[in-house]
Amino acid sequence: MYDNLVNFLQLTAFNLVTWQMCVMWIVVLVLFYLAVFKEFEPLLLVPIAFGALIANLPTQGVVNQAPGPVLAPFDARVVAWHVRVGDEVKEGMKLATLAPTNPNARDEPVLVARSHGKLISIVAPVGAVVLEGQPLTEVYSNEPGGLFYYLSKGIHWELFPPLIFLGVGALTDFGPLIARPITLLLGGAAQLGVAMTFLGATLLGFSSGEAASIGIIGGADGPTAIFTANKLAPHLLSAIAVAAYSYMSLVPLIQPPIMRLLTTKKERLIRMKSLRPVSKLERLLFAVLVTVVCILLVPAASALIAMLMLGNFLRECGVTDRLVKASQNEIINVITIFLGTSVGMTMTGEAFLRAETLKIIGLGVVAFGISTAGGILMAKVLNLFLRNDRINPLIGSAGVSAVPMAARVSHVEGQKYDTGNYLLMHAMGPNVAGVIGTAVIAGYYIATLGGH
Amino acid sequence: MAVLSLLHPASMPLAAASGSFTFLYQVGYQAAGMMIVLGALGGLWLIVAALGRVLRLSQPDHPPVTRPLAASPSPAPAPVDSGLDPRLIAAISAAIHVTLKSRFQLVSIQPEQTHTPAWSQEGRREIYQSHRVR
Repeated sequence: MYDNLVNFLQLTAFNLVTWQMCVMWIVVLVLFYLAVFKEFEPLLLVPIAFGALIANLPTQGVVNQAPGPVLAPFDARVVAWHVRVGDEVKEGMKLATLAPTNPNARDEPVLVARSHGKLISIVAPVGAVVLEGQPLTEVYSNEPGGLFYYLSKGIHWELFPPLIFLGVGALTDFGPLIARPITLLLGGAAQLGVAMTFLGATLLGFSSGEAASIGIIGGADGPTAIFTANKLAPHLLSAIAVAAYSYMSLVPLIQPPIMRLLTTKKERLIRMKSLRPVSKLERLLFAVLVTVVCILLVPAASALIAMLMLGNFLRECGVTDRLVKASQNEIINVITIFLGTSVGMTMTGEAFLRAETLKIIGLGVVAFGISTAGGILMAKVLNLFLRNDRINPLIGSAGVSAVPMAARVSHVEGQKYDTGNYLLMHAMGPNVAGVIGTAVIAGYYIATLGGH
Repeated sequence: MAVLSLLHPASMPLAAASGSFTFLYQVGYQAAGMMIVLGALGGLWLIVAALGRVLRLSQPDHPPVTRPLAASPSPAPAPVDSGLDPRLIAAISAAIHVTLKSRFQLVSIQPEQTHTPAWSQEGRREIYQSHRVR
């Protein structure tokens, strides 16, 4: 009986728990608290937190890769092999020691097995110099990879963010924007935070790709932030996604002080003219127009723009009810679960507990603040030219995407000074313009910084 | 010209990615990015505004009905003094008429038993119902 107990205890995973996992459990508890009890973006934070919990447990058959070639994670020289051909390897086992060929690289020099199986060949012997993506060895097994290995492909292959955008498009009413198209400029100006944070991040030592991914947090658009980070800085994906979604839920706390600081009481009392009704034809032409113009200008953002406008066209055409309902409910809900848990699965202690994470979280709030200011200041500039139909600058802050939270903040803030002033629909214009603006600047970064 | 050259990705292959550029270069790079975003959205503004104008000109609103209203077949009932502002009663009556599109008689008006302003609540309900994620 004693032997049985000892054998059983040797099969448990307690000895595989690391201090990083314990710290991440605290992070997970904080995320659960914010999501469940404070209701901070719970639809995203709950799956993210649960994914992070799974990522920080010594699981089996959940995240292991499918057997096959083991590729070089970075440009490197093979220093030593710790296994031989014919050995059985398990997930987490050290396979080789690598030396990065780039002296400035901060990569982990140890190559670790991500799948179970038998080592059937070593392609790169000791001393060989390999480029990122070249095969080093091959693992064979009849067993497939784990569930989250396949789900995470939805992020790596950039499937989930555009699919989320399909649902977002089907849920978005561009009517207020079409009725008052000048508010497109507010959504554009709100990208100022993205640009300024890029500069701040480069000053803090981040590379251009990393800085662009961090800056996109200021666009307050989760799918676009994930899309950009996956292309330009995949190693920062988890920190960027958590920062983006956390700050989006904190919009009601972050924006009002900036709104009050940058506007006068007289400006906050401006009542805007009622929006004109928008015809179905206008709505359909708008969807086509945005698709054509944005894709011609920034083809790198094609997937996001195309799916956003496909969803919106389905909504506005009025003859595809079943597809619209599927996009608005089943598709976006299923993808949200997969996206959230897959992002959470990237939050391993080794990847998340770094100084860079704190910097990203700090830069994220700066990005939000400057984006808010950019929209407000643009509204004030436009008011210099608009005499009869002035814009309440409070709606400028809604230029950060965060749909519809940011629009609601504009409305609530306006009502504090004039209870009869209904800014909600006016603010929805810059709010949805911000979605397009963030996709455009993300496409600019991806195109110019060489996202794969 | 610098901005125009940035419009095409191939004209700036992996440029800023090398990390060897000065801060001033990065400032110019960001300025170009903002110009592209504002240019794209500004262009959309002009096109959408022009499109809206053209469509409204080609599809003018139906002219308002000018025929005189027929005399009411029966005298309106005497208003009950509810203590409410007559303008509020008129607005509620108009809203009911638009919604029901048929004859009706307003019997009573009861305030909603909530501490939240009804308009805000309705707006919030609509918005949150239709925008769940993000």
